[in-house]
Amino acid sequence: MDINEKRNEINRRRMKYGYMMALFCALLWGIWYVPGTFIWKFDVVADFQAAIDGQRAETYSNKAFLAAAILITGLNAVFVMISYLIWNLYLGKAKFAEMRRSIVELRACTKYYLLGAICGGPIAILGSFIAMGYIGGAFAAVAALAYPVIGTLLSSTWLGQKISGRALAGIMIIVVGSITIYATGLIEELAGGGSLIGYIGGLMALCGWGIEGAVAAKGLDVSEPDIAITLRFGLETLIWWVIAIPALALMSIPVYEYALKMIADPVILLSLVMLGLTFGFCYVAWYKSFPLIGVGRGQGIGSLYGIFAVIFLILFIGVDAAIGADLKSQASLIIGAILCTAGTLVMFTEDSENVISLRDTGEEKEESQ
Amino acid sequence: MMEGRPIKFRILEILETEPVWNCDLVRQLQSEYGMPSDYHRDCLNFDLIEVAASGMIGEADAKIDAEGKFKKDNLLTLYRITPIGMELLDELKAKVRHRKGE
Repeated sequence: MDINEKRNEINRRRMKYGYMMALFCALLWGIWYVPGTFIWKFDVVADFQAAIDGQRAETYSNKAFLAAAILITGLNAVFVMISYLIWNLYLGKAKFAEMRRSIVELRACTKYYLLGAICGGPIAILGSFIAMGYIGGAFAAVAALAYPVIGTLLSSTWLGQKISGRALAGIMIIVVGSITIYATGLIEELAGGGSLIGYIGGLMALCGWGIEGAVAAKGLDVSEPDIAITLRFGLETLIWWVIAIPALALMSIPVYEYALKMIADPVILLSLVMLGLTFGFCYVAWYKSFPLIGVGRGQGIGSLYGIFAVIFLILFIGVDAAIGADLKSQASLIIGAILCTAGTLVMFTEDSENVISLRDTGEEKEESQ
Repeated sequence: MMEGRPIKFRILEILETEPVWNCDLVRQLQSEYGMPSDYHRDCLNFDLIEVAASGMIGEADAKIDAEGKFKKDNLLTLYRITPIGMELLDELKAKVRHRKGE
Protein backbone atom coordinates (compact mmCIF):
# COMPACT_ATOMS: atom_id res chain seq x y z
CA MET A 1 0.00 0.00 0.00
CA ASP A 2 1.48 3.37 -0.98
CA ILE A 3 1.40 6.59 1.03
CA ASN A 4 -1.66 8.00 -0.75
CA GLU A 5 -3.65 4.84 -0.14
CA LYS A 6 -2.61 4.84 3.55
CA ARG A 7 -3.56 8.51 3.89
CA ASN A 8 -6.96 7.88 2.29
CA GLU A 9 -7.52 4.86 4.50
CA ILE A 10 -6.81 6.91 7.67
CA ASN A 11 -9.16 9.61 6.43
CA ARG A 12 -11.90 7.10 5.59
CA ARG A 13 -11.53 5.53 9.05
CA ARG A 14 -11.81 8.94 10.71
CA MET A 15 -15.00 9.75 8.80
CA LYS A 16 -16.44 6.30 9.47
CA TYR A 17 -15.69 6.58 13.19
CA GLY A 18 -17.27 10.06 13.25
CA TYR A 19 -20.41 8.83 11.49
CA MET A 20 -20.60 5.79 13.79
CA MET A 21 -20.43 8.11 16.81
CA ALA A 22 -23.23 10.29 15.40
CA LEU A 23 -25.34 7.22 14.67
CA PHE A 24 -24.65 5.85 18.15
CA CYS A 25 -25.80 9.23 19.52
CA ALA A 26 -29.07 9.01 17.55
CA LEU A 27 -29.66 5.44 18.71
CA LEU A 28 -29.11 6.23 22.41
CA TRP A 29 -31.14 9.43 22.15
CA GLY A 30 -33.98 7.36 20.67
CA ILE A 31 -33.71 4.78 23.48
CA TRP A 32 -33.75 7.66 26.01
CA TYR A 33 -37.34 8.39 24.96
CA VAL A 34 -38.47 5.08 26.51
CA PRO A 35 -37.53 5.93 30.15
CA GLY A 36 -38.12 9.60 29.21
CA THR A 37 -41.76 8.78 28.43
CA PHE A 38 -42.28 6.34 31.30
CA ILE A 39 -40.96 8.72 33.97
CA TRP A 40 -44.02 10.95 33.41
CA LYS A 41 -46.35 8.02 34.14
CA PHE A 42 -45.24 7.51 37.75
CA ASP A 43 -47.71 8.53 40.48
CA VAL A 44 -45.05 10.65 42.24
CA VAL A 45 -44.84 12.97 39.20
CA ALA A 46 -48.65 13.30 39.13
CA ASP A 47 -48.65 13.87 42.92
CA PHE A 48 -46.05 16.62 42.50
CA GLN A 49 -48.16 18.41 39.90
CA ALA A 50 -51.29 17.91 42.02
CA ALA A 51 -49.46 19.43 45.02
CA ILE A 52 -48.76 22.55 42.91
CA ASP A 53 -52.29 22.82 41.50
CA GLY A 54 -53.96 21.90 44.79
CA GLN A 55 -55.93 18.97 43.35
CA ARG A 56 -55.68 15.76 41.35
CA ALA A 57 -56.78 16.12 37.71
CA GLU A 58 -56.52 14.52 34.29
CA THR A 59 -54.26 17.34 33.11
CA TYR A 60 -52.39 19.94 35.12
CA SER A 61 -51.63 23.65 34.69
CA ASN A 62 -48.66 24.75 32.60
CA LYS A 63 -46.95 25.94 35.80
CA ALA A 64 -47.21 22.45 37.32
CA PHE A 65 -46.11 20.84 34.03
CA LEU A 66 -43.04 23.09 33.73
CA ALA A 67 -42.10 22.55 37.39
CA ALA A 68 -42.28 18.76 36.87
CA ALA A 69 -40.21 19.15 33.66
CA ILE A 70 -37.54 21.11 35.57
CA LEU A 71 -37.46 18.51 38.36
CA ILE A 72 -37.13 15.59 35.91
CA THR A 73 -34.52 17.41 33.81
CA GLY A 74 -32.55 18.34 36.95
CA LEU A 75 -32.55 14.72 38.11
CA ASN A 76 -31.66 13.60 34.56
CA ALA A 77 -28.62 15.92 34.67
CA VAL A 78 -27.48 14.49 38.04
CA PHE A 79 -27.64 10.91 36.72
CA VAL A 80 -25.85 11.92 33.51
CA MET A 81 -23.06 13.34 35.68
CA ILE A 82 -22.86 10.10 37.68
CA SER A 83 -22.49 8.22 34.35
CA TYR A 84 -19.67 10.59 33.34
CA LEU A 85 -17.79 10.15 36.60
CA ILE A 86 -17.86 6.38 36.10
CA TRP A 87 -16.90 6.82 32.42
CA ASN A 88 -13.93 9.06 33.25
CA LEU A 89 -12.82 6.67 36.01
CA TYR A 90 -12.84 3.93 33.38
CA LEU A 91 -10.79 6.09 30.99
CA GLY A 92 -8.14 6.58 33.68
CA LYS A 93 -6.65 9.26 35.89
CA ALA A 94 -5.06 11.04 32.91
CA LYS A 95 -8.58 12.24 31.97
CA PHE A 96 -9.12 13.76 35.41
CA ALA A 97 -5.76 15.54 35.11
CA GLU A 98 -6.78 16.93 31.69
CA MET A 99 -10.14 17.95 33.15
CA ARG A 100 -8.36 19.91 35.91
CA ARG A 101 -6.11 21.60 33.32
CA SER A 102 -9.11 22.49 31.13
CA ILE A 103 -11.58 23.70 33.78
CA VAL A 104 -9.24 26.46 35.02
CA GLU A 105 -8.89 27.91 31.51
CA LEU A 106 -12.17 29.77 31.74
CA ARG A 107 -11.61 32.31 28.94
CA ALA A 108 -9.77 29.97 26.59
CA CYS A 109 -11.90 26.87 27.01
CA THR A 110 -14.56 26.47 29.74
CA LYS A 111 -16.65 29.47 28.65
CA TYR A 112 -17.70 27.54 25.52
CA TYR A 113 -19.11 24.76 27.68
CA LEU A 114 -20.90 27.21 29.95
CA LEU A 115 -22.55 28.67 26.85
CA GLY A 116 -23.24 25.14 25.57
CA ALA A 117 -24.79 24.21 28.92
CA ILE A 118 -27.06 27.28 28.87
CA CYS A 119 -28.11 26.75 25.22
CA GLY A 120 -28.56 22.96 25.37
CA GLY A 121 -29.90 22.90 28.93
CA PRO A 122 -32.34 25.55 30.13
CA ILE A 123 -32.95 27.15 26.71
CA ALA A 124 -33.41 24.03 24.54
CA ILE A 125 -34.89 21.60 27.07
CA LEU A 126 -37.18 24.16 28.70
CA GLY A 127 -38.15 25.48 25.25
CA SER A 128 -38.98 21.96 24.17
CA PHE A 129 -41.20 21.43 27.22
CA ILE A 130 -42.87 24.85 26.72
CA ALA A 131 -43.62 23.89 23.10
CA MET A 132 -44.98 20.56 24.30
CA GLY A 133 -47.12 22.12 27.01
CA TYR A 134 -48.53 25.07 25.03
CA ILE A 135 -48.88 23.47 21.56
CA GLY A 136 -48.19 19.72 21.63
CA GLY A 137 -45.68 16.89 21.51
CA ALA A 138 -45.47 16.69 17.71
CA PHE A 139 -44.71 20.42 17.38
CA ALA A 140 -42.04 20.15 20.09
CA ALA A 141 -40.46 17.16 18.31
CA VAL A 142 -40.45 18.92 14.93
CA ALA A 143 -38.92 22.11 16.38
CA ALA A 144 -36.14 20.09 18.03
CA LEU A 145 -35.53 17.92 14.98
CA ALA A 146 -34.88 20.94 12.76
CA TYR A 147 -31.86 21.98 14.90
CA PRO A 148 -29.23 20.78 12.37
CA VAL A 149 -30.33 23.65 10.10
CA ILE A 150 -29.13 26.18 12.71
CA GLY A 151 -26.06 24.09 13.61
CA THR A 152 -24.98 23.77 9.97
CA LEU A 153 -25.57 27.46 9.28
CA LEU A 154 -23.52 28.54 12.32
CA SER A 155 -20.70 26.04 11.84
CA SER A 156 -20.36 27.21 8.27
CA THR A 157 -20.55 30.98 8.86
CA TRP A 158 -19.01 31.34 12.35
CA LEU A 159 -16.59 28.40 12.52
CA GLY A 160 -15.78 28.35 8.80
CA GLN A 161 -16.44 24.60 8.54
CA LYS A 162 -16.76 23.41 4.96
CA ILE A 163 -19.92 21.57 4.03
CA SER A 164 -20.21 19.83 0.67
CA GLY A 165 -23.38 19.97 -1.43
CA ARG A 166 -23.80 16.24 -0.89
CA ALA A 167 -23.55 16.48 2.92
CA LEU A 168 -25.95 19.44 2.91
CA ALA A 169 -28.44 17.49 0.77
CA GLY A 170 -28.17 14.51 3.15
CA ILE A 171 -28.77 16.72 6.23
CA MET A 172 -31.82 18.34 4.64
CA ILE A 173 -33.32 15.00 3.54
CA ILE A 174 -32.93 13.64 7.11
CA VAL A 175 -34.47 16.79 8.64
CA VAL A 176 -37.44 16.67 6.23
CA GLY A 177 -37.80 12.92 6.85
CA SER A 178 -37.73 13.37 10.64
CA ILE A 179 -40.34 16.15 10.44
CA THR A 180 -42.52 14.01 8.14
CA ILE A 181 -42.79 11.38 10.91
CA TYR A 182 -44.64 13.92 13.06
CA ALA A 183 -46.48 15.65 10.19
CA THR A 184 -49.99 14.38 11.01
CA GLY A 185 -49.73 15.37 14.68
CA LEU A 186 -48.17 18.69 13.73
CA ILE A 187 -51.00 19.60 11.35
CA GLU A 188 -53.62 18.72 14.01
CA GLU A 189 -51.83 20.74 16.70
CA LEU A 190 -51.36 23.80 14.50
CA ALA A 191 -55.01 23.59 13.37
CA GLY A 192 -55.85 24.07 17.05
CA GLY A 193 -54.62 27.66 16.74
CA GLY A 194 -51.15 27.30 18.30
CA SER A 195 -49.86 29.72 20.90
CA LEU A 196 -47.23 32.48 20.81
CA ILE A 197 -45.53 31.14 23.97
CA GLY A 198 -45.51 27.69 22.40
CA TYR A 199 -43.85 29.02 19.23
CA ILE A 200 -41.23 30.83 21.32
CA GLY A 201 -40.60 27.53 23.11
CA GLY A 202 -40.15 25.80 19.75
CA LEU A 203 -37.70 28.49 18.64
CA MET A 204 -35.77 28.06 21.92
CA ALA A 205 -35.41 24.32 21.25
CA LEU A 206 -34.45 24.85 17.61
CA CYS A 207 -31.83 27.51 18.34
CA GLY A 208 -30.67 26.07 21.69
CA TRP A 209 -29.41 22.74 20.38
CA GLY A 210 -28.25 24.25 17.06
CA ILE A 211 -26.13 26.90 18.81
CA GLU A 212 -24.84 24.37 21.36
CA GLY A 213 -23.33 22.26 18.57
CA ALA A 214 -21.47 25.19 17.05
CA VAL A 215 -20.27 26.50 20.42
CA ALA A 216 -19.17 23.00 21.48
CA ALA A 217 -17.23 22.56 18.23
CA LYS A 218 -15.37 25.80 18.96
CA GLY A 219 -14.46 24.44 22.41
CA LEU A 220 -13.53 21.06 20.94
CA ASP A 221 -10.82 22.76 18.86
CA VAL A 222 -8.91 23.09 22.13
CA SER A 223 -10.14 20.24 24.34
CA GLU A 224 -10.95 16.54 24.26
CA PRO A 225 -14.59 15.43 23.79
CA ASP A 226 -14.73 13.38 27.04
CA ILE A 227 -13.53 16.39 29.02
CA ALA A 228 -15.75 18.80 27.10
CA ILE A 229 -18.95 16.90 27.73
CA THR A 230 -18.20 16.36 31.42
CA LEU A 231 -17.61 20.09 31.89
CA ARG A 232 -20.71 20.97 29.87
CA PHE A 233 -22.99 18.66 31.88
CA GLY A 234 -21.35 19.61 35.19
CA LEU A 235 -22.26 23.22 34.44
CA GLU A 236 -25.79 22.29 33.35
CA THR A 237 -26.29 20.33 36.59
CA LEU A 238 -25.23 23.44 38.52
CA ILE A 239 -27.68 25.60 36.54
CA TRP A 240 -30.58 23.30 37.47
CA TRP A 241 -29.63 22.70 41.12
CA VAL A 242 -28.21 26.12 42.04
CA ILE A 243 -30.63 28.34 40.09
CA ALA A 244 -33.75 26.67 38.67
CA ILE A 245 -34.70 24.20 41.41
CA PRO A 246 -34.03 26.60 44.32
CA ALA A 247 -36.17 29.14 42.39
CA LEU A 248 -39.03 26.61 42.41
CA ALA A 249 -38.49 26.07 46.16
CA LEU A 250 -38.67 29.84 46.69
CA MET A 251 -42.09 29.74 45.00
CA SER A 252 -43.16 27.31 47.78
CA ILE A 253 -43.15 24.35 45.39
CA PRO A 254 -42.16 21.17 47.34
CA VAL A 255 -39.45 20.30 44.81
CA TYR A 256 -36.86 18.84 47.22
CA GLU A 257 -39.45 16.65 48.94
CA TYR A 258 -40.52 15.13 45.60
CA ALA A 259 -36.93 14.81 44.35
CA LEU A 260 -36.19 12.65 47.41
CA LYS A 261 -39.41 10.68 46.91
CA MET A 262 -38.40 9.91 43.33
CA ILE A 263 -34.90 8.78 44.27
CA ALA A 264 -36.23 6.68 47.18
CA ASP A 265 -38.49 4.66 44.88
CA PRO A 266 -36.43 1.76 43.41
CA VAL A 267 -38.35 1.62 40.10
CA ILE A 268 -38.09 5.38 39.53
CA LEU A 269 -34.44 5.22 40.56
CA LEU A 270 -33.84 2.54 37.93
CA SER A 271 -35.59 4.75 35.34
CA LEU A 272 -33.36 7.67 36.33
CA VAL A 273 -30.28 5.47 35.95
CA MET A 274 -31.50 4.50 32.46
CA LEU A 275 -32.11 8.17 31.64
CA GLY A 276 -28.61 9.08 32.84
CA LEU A 277 -26.89 6.30 30.92
CA THR A 278 -28.70 6.80 27.61
CA PHE A 279 -28.66 10.61 27.61
CA GLY A 280 -25.10 10.71 28.98
CA PHE A 281 -23.59 8.44 26.37
CA CYS A 282 -25.66 9.89 23.55
CA TYR A 283 -24.04 13.24 24.36
CA VAL A 284 -20.54 11.67 24.60
CA ALA A 285 -21.03 10.23 21.11
CA TRP A 286 -22.47 13.53 19.80
CA TYR A 287 -19.43 15.49 21.03
CA LYS A 288 -17.02 12.85 19.72
CA SER A 289 -18.50 13.13 16.23
CA PHE A 290 -18.05 16.92 15.87
CA PRO A 291 -14.22 17.10 15.61
CA LEU A 292 -14.19 14.19 13.15
CA ILE A 293 -17.01 14.97 10.70
CA GLY A 294 -18.06 18.53 11.60
CA VAL A 295 -21.12 19.97 13.29
CA GLY A 296 -23.47 19.79 10.29
CA ARG A 297 -22.90 16.10 9.56
CA GLY A 298 -22.85 15.18 13.28
CA GLN A 299 -26.14 16.97 13.92
CA GLY A 300 -27.72 15.69 10.69
CA ILE A 301 -27.10 12.05 11.60
CA GLY A 302 -27.86 12.87 15.26
CA SER A 303 -31.36 13.97 14.31
CA LEU A 304 -32.12 10.40 13.27
CA TYR A 305 -33.08 10.11 16.94
CA GLY A 306 -36.58 11.11 15.78
CA ILE A 307 -37.06 7.85 13.90
CA PHE A 308 -35.22 5.76 16.54
CA ALA A 309 -37.42 7.22 19.31
CA VAL A 310 -40.55 6.17 17.43
CA ILE A 311 -39.15 2.68 16.72
CA PHE A 312 -38.23 2.08 20.38
CA LEU A 313 -41.54 3.47 21.63
CA ILE A 314 -43.38 1.15 19.22
CA LEU A 315 -41.36 -1.80 20.60
CA PHE A 316 -42.16 -0.92 24.21
CA ILE A 317 -45.69 0.53 24.12
CA GLY A 318 -47.09 -0.60 20.75
CA VAL A 319 -47.85 1.13 17.45
CA ASP A 320 -51.17 2.69 18.48
CA ALA A 321 -49.83 4.29 21.67
CA ALA A 322 -46.59 5.42 20.05
CA ILE A 323 -47.84 7.00 16.80
CA GLY A 324 -51.62 6.59 16.74
CA ALA A 325 -53.93 4.02 15.15
CA ASP A 326 -54.82 6.09 12.06
CA LEU A 327 -53.47 5.24 8.64
CA LYS A 328 -52.18 8.79 7.99
CA SER A 329 -49.79 8.70 10.99
CA GLN A 330 -48.50 5.28 10.06
CA ALA A 331 -48.01 6.31 6.42
CA SER A 332 -46.09 9.44 7.46
CA LEU A 333 -43.87 7.26 9.68
CA ILE A 334 -43.01 5.02 6.72
CA ILE A 335 -42.36 7.97 4.35
CA GLY A 336 -40.26 9.66 7.05
CA ALA A 337 -38.25 6.48 7.64
CA ILE A 338 -37.55 6.10 3.90
CA LEU A 339 -36.37 9.74 3.68
CA CYS A 340 -34.17 9.35 6.79
CA THR A 341 -32.55 6.23 5.35
CA ALA A 342 -32.01 7.94 1.98
CA GLY A 343 -30.45 11.02 3.65
CA THR A 344 -28.15 8.82 5.74
CA LEU A 345 -26.97 6.92 2.64
CA VAL A 346 -26.34 10.20 0.78
CA MET A 347 -24.07 11.31 3.64
CA PHE A 348 -22.33 7.98 4.26
CA THR A 349 -21.35 7.70 0.60
CA GLU A 350 -19.70 11.14 0.50
CA ASP A 351 -16.12 10.90 -0.75
CA SER A 352 -13.88 11.25 2.35
CA GLU A 353 -11.00 12.63 0.23
CA ASN A 354 -12.91 15.92 0.07
CA VAL A 355 -13.03 16.16 3.86
CA ILE A 356 -9.36 15.89 4.86
CA SER A 357 -9.80 19.12 6.82
CA LEU A 358 -13.17 20.39 8.04
CA ARG A 359 -12.11 24.01 7.44
CA ASP A 360 -10.23 26.08 4.92
CA THR A 361 -6.89 26.27 6.73
CA GLY A 362 -5.84 29.61 5.27
CA GLU A 363 -2.95 28.01 3.34
CA GLU A 364 -4.83 28.30 0.07
CA LYS A 365 -4.81 32.10 0.48
CA GLU A 366 -1.10 32.15 1.36
CA GLU A 367 -0.23 30.04 -1.67
CA SER A 368 -2.15 32.29 -4.05
CA GLN A 369 -0.43 35.44 -2.77
CA MET B 1 3.89 28.91 27.94
CA MET B 2 1.46 26.07 27.23
CA GLU B 3 3.29 23.38 29.20
CA GLY B 4 0.98 21.86 31.79
CA ARG B 5 -2.06 23.32 30.06
CA PRO B 6 -4.68 21.35 28.05
CA ILE B 7 -3.04 18.97 25.56
CA LYS B 8 -4.43 20.59 22.40
CA PHE B 9 -3.05 24.00 23.51
CA ARG B 10 0.38 22.40 23.80
CA ILE B 11 0.15 20.63 20.45
CA LEU B 12 -0.29 23.98 18.70
CA GLU B 13 2.61 25.51 20.63
CA ILE B 14 5.03 22.66 19.88
CA LEU B 15 4.28 23.05 16.16
CA GLU B 16 4.53 26.85 16.26
CA THR B 17 8.21 26.99 15.30
CA GLU B 18 8.74 23.96 13.07
CA PRO B 19 7.00 20.84 11.72
CA VAL B 20 7.30 17.71 13.88
CA TRP B 21 6.68 14.04 13.06
CA ASN B 22 3.69 12.58 14.87
CA CYS B 23 5.82 9.88 16.55
CA ASP B 24 8.14 12.51 18.09
CA LEU B 25 5.25 14.80 19.01
CA VAL B 26 3.37 11.99 20.76
CA ARG B 27 6.52 10.90 22.62
CA GLN B 28 7.13 14.47 23.81
CA LEU B 29 3.53 14.77 25.01
CA GLN B 30 3.70 11.35 26.73
CA SER B 31 6.74 12.51 28.63
CA GLU B 32 5.41 15.99 29.52
CA TYR B 33 1.96 14.83 30.61
CA GLY B 34 3.01 11.60 32.37
CA MET B 35 1.10 9.35 29.97
CA PRO B 36 3.52 6.47 29.33
CA SER B 37 1.34 3.54 28.19
CA ASP B 38 0.47 2.45 24.64
CA TYR B 39 -3.16 3.35 25.41
CA HIS B 40 -2.07 6.90 26.24
CA ARG B 41 0.07 6.97 23.07
CA ASP B 42 -2.98 6.10 20.96
CA CYS B 43 -5.14 8.66 22.81
CA LEU B 44 -2.58 11.39 22.11
CA ASN B 45 -2.28 10.35 18.46
CA PHE B 46 -6.08 10.57 18.24
CA ASP B 47 -5.87 14.12 19.64
CA LEU B 48 -3.52 14.92 16.74
CA ILE B 49 -5.99 13.45 14.25
CA GLU B 50 -8.78 15.61 15.74
CA VAL B 51 -6.66 18.79 15.63
CA ALA B 52 -5.68 18.00 12.03
CA ALA B 53 -9.32 17.38 11.05
CA SER B 54 -10.26 20.76 12.55
CA GLY B 55 -7.75 22.37 10.15
CA MET B 56 -5.50 23.83 12.88
CA ILE B 57 -2.58 21.62 11.83
CA GLY B 58 -1.89 19.96 8.51
CA GLU B 59 0.36 17.44 6.84
CA ALA B 60 3.75 18.70 5.64
CA ASP B 61 5.05 15.26 4.71
CA ALA B 62 4.31 11.60 5.22
CA LYS B 63 6.11 8.26 5.02
CA ILE B 64 5.47 4.63 5.76
CA ASP B 65 6.82 3.53 9.14
CA ALA B 66 8.97 0.71 7.75
CA GLU B 67 11.23 0.52 10.82
CA GLY B 68 8.38 0.39 13.35
CA LYS B 69 9.38 3.70 15.03
CA PHE B 70 5.74 4.30 15.98
CA LYS B 71 3.50 1.61 14.47
CA LYS B 72 5.08 -0.65 11.89
CA ASP B 73 3.75 -0.25 8.31
CA ASN B 74 1.45 2.58 9.34
CA LEU B 75 1.68 6.15 8.13
CA LEU B 76 4.02 8.59 9.88
CA THR B 77 2.89 12.18 9.43
CA LEU B 78 4.98 15.33 9.63
CA TYR B 79 2.61 17.93 11.08
CA ARG B 80 2.90 21.68 10.75
CA ILE B 81 0.69 24.44 12.09
CA THR B 82 -1.67 26.15 9.59
CA PRO B 83 -2.47 29.90 9.42
CA ILE B 84 -5.79 29.38 11.24
CA GLY B 85 -3.93 27.26 13.82
CA MET B 86 -1.53 30.19 14.37
CA GLU B 87 -4.50 32.52 14.83
CA LEU B 88 -5.98 30.15 17.41
CA LEU B 89 -2.65 29.82 19.23
CA ASP B 90 -2.31 33.62 19.44
CA GLU B 91 -5.88 33.81 20.75
CA LEU B 92 -5.11 31.15 23.37
CA LYS B 93 -1.93 32.91 24.46
CA ALA B 94 -3.96 36.06 25.10
CA LYS B 95 -6.66 34.19 26.99
CA VAL B 96 -4.89 31.59 29.15
CA ARG B 97 -4.82 32.03 32.91
CA HIS B 98 -1.62 33.74 33.90
CA ARG B 99 0.76 31.81 36.11
CA LYS B 100 3.42 33.24 38.36
CA GLY B 101 6.43 34.35 36.35
CA GLU B 102 4.55 34.65 33.02
